[in-house]
Amino acid sequence: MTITAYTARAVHTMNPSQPTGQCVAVRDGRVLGVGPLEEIERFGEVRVDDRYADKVLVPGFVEGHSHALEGSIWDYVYLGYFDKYDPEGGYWAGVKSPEAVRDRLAEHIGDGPEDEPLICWGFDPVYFEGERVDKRLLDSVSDTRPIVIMHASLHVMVVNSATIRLAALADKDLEGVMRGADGEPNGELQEIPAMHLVFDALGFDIFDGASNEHALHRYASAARRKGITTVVDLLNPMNDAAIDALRAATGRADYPVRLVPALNALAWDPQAGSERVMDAMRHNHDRLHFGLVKLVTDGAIQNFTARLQWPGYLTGPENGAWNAPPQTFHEMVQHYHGAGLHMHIHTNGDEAIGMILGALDEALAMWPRPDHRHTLQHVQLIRQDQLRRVARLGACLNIFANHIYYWGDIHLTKTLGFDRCQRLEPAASADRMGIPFGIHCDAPVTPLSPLFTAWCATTRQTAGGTVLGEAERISRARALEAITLGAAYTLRMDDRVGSLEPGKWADVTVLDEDPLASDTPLKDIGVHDTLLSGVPTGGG
Amino acid sequence: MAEPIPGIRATLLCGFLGSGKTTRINRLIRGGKLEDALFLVNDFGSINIDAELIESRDEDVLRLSNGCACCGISGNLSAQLREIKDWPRRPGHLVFEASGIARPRPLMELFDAARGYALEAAESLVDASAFRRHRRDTAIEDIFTAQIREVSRLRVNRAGWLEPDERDAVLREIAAVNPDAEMIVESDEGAPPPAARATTPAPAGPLVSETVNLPHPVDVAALETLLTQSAPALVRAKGTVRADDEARTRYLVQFAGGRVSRTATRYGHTQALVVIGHRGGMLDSLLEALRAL
Ligand SMILES: [Zn+2]
Repeated sequence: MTITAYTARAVHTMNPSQPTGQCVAVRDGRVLGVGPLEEIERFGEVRVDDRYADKVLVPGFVEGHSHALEGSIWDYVYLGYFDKYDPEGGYWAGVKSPEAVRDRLAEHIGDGPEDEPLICWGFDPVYFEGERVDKRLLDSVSDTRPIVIMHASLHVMVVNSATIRLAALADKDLEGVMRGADGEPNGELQEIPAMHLVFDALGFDIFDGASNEHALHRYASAARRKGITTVVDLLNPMNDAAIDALRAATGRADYPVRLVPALNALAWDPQAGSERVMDAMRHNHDRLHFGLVKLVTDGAIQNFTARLQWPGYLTGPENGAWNAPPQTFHEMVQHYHGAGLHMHIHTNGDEAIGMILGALDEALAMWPRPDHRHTLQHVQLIRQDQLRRVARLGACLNIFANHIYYWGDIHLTKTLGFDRCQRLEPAASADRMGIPFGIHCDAPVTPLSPLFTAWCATTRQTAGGTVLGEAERISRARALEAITLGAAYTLRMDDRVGSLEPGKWADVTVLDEDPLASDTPLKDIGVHDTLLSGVPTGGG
Repeated sequence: MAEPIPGIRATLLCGFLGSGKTTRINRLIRGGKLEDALFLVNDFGSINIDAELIESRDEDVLRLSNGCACCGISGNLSAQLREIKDWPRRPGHLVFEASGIARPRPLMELFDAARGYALEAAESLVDASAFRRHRRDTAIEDIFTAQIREVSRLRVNRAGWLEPDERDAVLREIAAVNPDAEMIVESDEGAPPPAARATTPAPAGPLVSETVNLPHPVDVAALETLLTQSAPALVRAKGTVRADDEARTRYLVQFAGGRVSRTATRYGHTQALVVIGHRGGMLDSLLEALRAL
């Protein structure tokens, strides 16, 4: 039994009994100790590994809400407003003007076969000034090869004339086919009835391939690069093919993360869905953890689809959309709770949050279950009275801290207005009430990077530089806990990951700087490597 | 050049949760009038088809000997419609069960415009006995109203469950939402279930709560029958039991609102049933029968 001790400049353990250490000593893939070397040597001979001697060791990051789509969406060309890194670490500058859109398209118009469409993703013109991006701009790059630009919301696309011809859009009398003053389609298509014509004519599906093995490997390497050792794919179809791919990918000894897929419950009849999860749990191993069930109740605030209480949206429609009737969610909560499974429930607007708290209240009255750890995801607009209910019901939260940075400016002026922007993502209130919580990125919606997410929770700064809701900021220490032990708790994995304690898996993130002692903004601290079960994943 | 293939004729079936879409689909399948039809449904398990009618069954598609087929709706409708029109056994007719929360208009537009499809009819089912309750519910009122307003045919059921005065008023209110629609009022539906009847005679005895231990595996179907038969005396029953099937499945069993339901569960270790009901002969014989299970 060899013992390896990784020495470091500092070790933060997230274990309150022993908050700091001098090294991380590993045996059999587990943490043996973090104490002084000479104490660890009582267990036997210790091999000292000093490759991280000038680095800082913290528990491996736990990303409690992202999607394996992050591993396949990069097969398409990125056209988002913000700078991003692809899973291989390649840098993609944000596209900030119509000219930049043209340049990015021109750069990639030669990629792949000429008769296949050029597909782009992440486009978000809400930030643009000036001329509208329509078919004219796309045609100036090519009017022979089909070009399709998907909006970040996935509710809108822009296409060029070649696509308009192939899909025969000109003679379709359809509300979602936008037209110019000349009555011809201008290239913008809104909502599924119109977009379907393009998917059909070009034979592509942007969600296709998100659950194949290749995507799962890219997804894992994107996560590893940002210091993540446990990652949740929070909306997996869990059909036979998806389960096979998950088993095959994580079955490889060099798979660099522990993967936690959650069943997309809305795609299943509840009885069949709970059986599917219980069945899949038989395949659980060190790097694969079935057991979560995901429910998606409403949409997103920036798309005006979240269900809001009074006074509704600042501009735009009155209210958003449910994904199923509230009664159905009541029944699903009752069912999956009764089945003894662990629910993670997407709720953005305060009306959706209220509905789900009612459903949890009912289910818990019928079947009391201490320590159920059902977790509300996003909870962007949660009110103080709802937070008190969450605390009383013993539920957990996973807060979408990144949202303030990416959409805070929009929420201030278009969707919510000043007051409700102060309470968005209320991490400090959750902390004050003793509600266990994590914070998350929802990749590919925002970039996969727990340190960036932690930075957002500590600063609450928008991309435009405005600070929203200073009273809801949390400390660096609290944010570090949220991206490690906090998230692990919401997954019921805090007995194995989330802190560096004897007996737990030796999952470690190696940082260039001390996240607690240095003044460097958390988002700018470099991730040097990770260890999974005590083994470096970066190949040295 | 190949002949243009005629489009798949699509019938849209909309309507809120509990509006009777499943009943309607089961009736259409059994009626056998639609040959060569594919039924695209939300919940595969809710379709009851005589075993001798089933030709084959795989993960996704149920094929029937009368030429029809049945298939669950996947998350991505656009992709599914593309797939279906490329099936080697392409259906001539498609009956699409919209989700209880779907607005008809976008679906009508989709089937109208999609290559390979032709929208033939769009109808919404309306439960007359729930109409006023849904219209008052602010969380769903907008969707419920859109489902009535946006289609050309309304099929109203359970009107017979209402008193004549109320029934006429409700039918007028439905017509006022969409005066142009053709309205079909179903008539052969029988009496409402006991729970919906306000006039169920309330058993007289005081409420008592009894716990019945069930240490051995039980016949869950028999247990459900016992509870259902004693419904008039029962207020609520709940518990965890182990079934006498081969897997010894553990179930949560509950009786509430006049209905028994069960859920396979991995939770709980006790095996007992708590029964809350009105003291009297009926409850006594239920408890006796439960203990004998
Ligand atoms: Zn998500």
